[in-house]
Formats: sequence, C-alpha cells, structure tokens
Amino acid sequence: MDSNEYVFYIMGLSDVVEFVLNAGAEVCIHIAIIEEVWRNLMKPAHKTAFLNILLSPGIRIYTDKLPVALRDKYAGLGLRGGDILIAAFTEFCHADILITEDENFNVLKGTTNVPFEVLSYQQLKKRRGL
Amino acid sequence: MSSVRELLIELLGGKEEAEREAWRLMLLIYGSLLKKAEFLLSILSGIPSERDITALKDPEAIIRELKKTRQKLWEEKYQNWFE
Repeated sequence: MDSNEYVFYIMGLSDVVEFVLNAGAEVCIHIAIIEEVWRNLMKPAHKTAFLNILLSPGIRIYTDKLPVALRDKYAGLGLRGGDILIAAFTEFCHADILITEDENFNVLKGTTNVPFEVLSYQQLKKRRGL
Repeated sequence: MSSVRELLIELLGGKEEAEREAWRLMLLIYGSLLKKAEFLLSILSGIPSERDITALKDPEAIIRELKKTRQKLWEEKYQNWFE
C-alpha cells in the first residue's frame, strides 16, 4: 500500500487498511513509506492510529536495500524519483498488488514485465465484487 | 492485557507461584509484539514530524504533498536504499 492509502485511512476517508487486513492479506511496508507518512502526521491520535496499523500482525516491515536492477527497471518504465522505490519494493517483496491513489503509477498498467497489479482502493473493491 | 494475566493466574492455580508463571507466559505471548514495537520506536524516534497533512481536506492535495515529501526523501536518502 502506498503512503496515501495509510493517510486516507488514518483520516477516516477510507477503510482500506481494515479491508485488506480483514481479507487475510499480508501487507508489506518499506521503512521509506513509514517515514513519508510519519513526517506528515502531527496529532497524537493520528500517530497512534498509524502505530496501531504498523503493529498489526498482518503488516510486515522491511528495511532491506533493494537491487539497483529494479531501480533501473522502473526508471526505464517511466517512473520518477521516489515512485521508483515504491514500485521496486513492490516487486522485491513479491506483492500481488500495489494499492495507490496516485495516478503516476498508471504507467505500469498493462506492462507485461511488471509482476504486480496497480489498483486504487475502489478498483480493488470492485475486483472483489464489492 | 490484565484480563489475560488474570485468566492465566486462575488457570495456573491462582497462587503466588501462578502469578510469577503467568508473567512468564505473558512475556511469551506479547514478546514478539514488544520486539516489533521496540524496533518501530527506534526507527520513528529519529524521524521528525514536519506538518499535519490531515489539515488538508482535498485528497488530491494530500497526494501532492506526500509526493513532495517523497521527492525530498529521494534526494536525501532514497538512493542509499539500493545496492
């Protein structure tokens, strides 16, 4: 899940975290995403909500360095800056889906050598028949 | 958490020794979560909170602001996360 999904959940704008964890999925999160979200939270209640998510058994935290080959691959596919890390990490942790509301990742849709799907939360729900 | 401890004490016999054993079991039960919490706290203690993005109400604006943080982090350190 991309950082925007966590923020929208914490703000009460979506129930994406509950939805994914209740479906029994394992959520992979890289330390970079944790830092991105944390830097943008100030209120104790929001920080608590984020910590609560991170402490869930279904959340797996990664601090691994990623292969440069993945950086080059996703830069080559048209991603820029930190988005390259998010896509590289999604492949690195063998995730099936990258959930994001960020349309910049749409460049990956329909690309044959990307081993995961890019879906917004609404698209994910639709996929699950909801 | 205390109700789990009380249940354990009762299950173990409800005496002084049972209380000690209950604490031992509590550490086994919660140990992995404590480890995760310690790890998280050690990471987060080095990260400053810079702004309250939740003050923004427009989802598009939130995505844009998060991207600014992402770009800043990329310039500062993201490149170190590849090898």
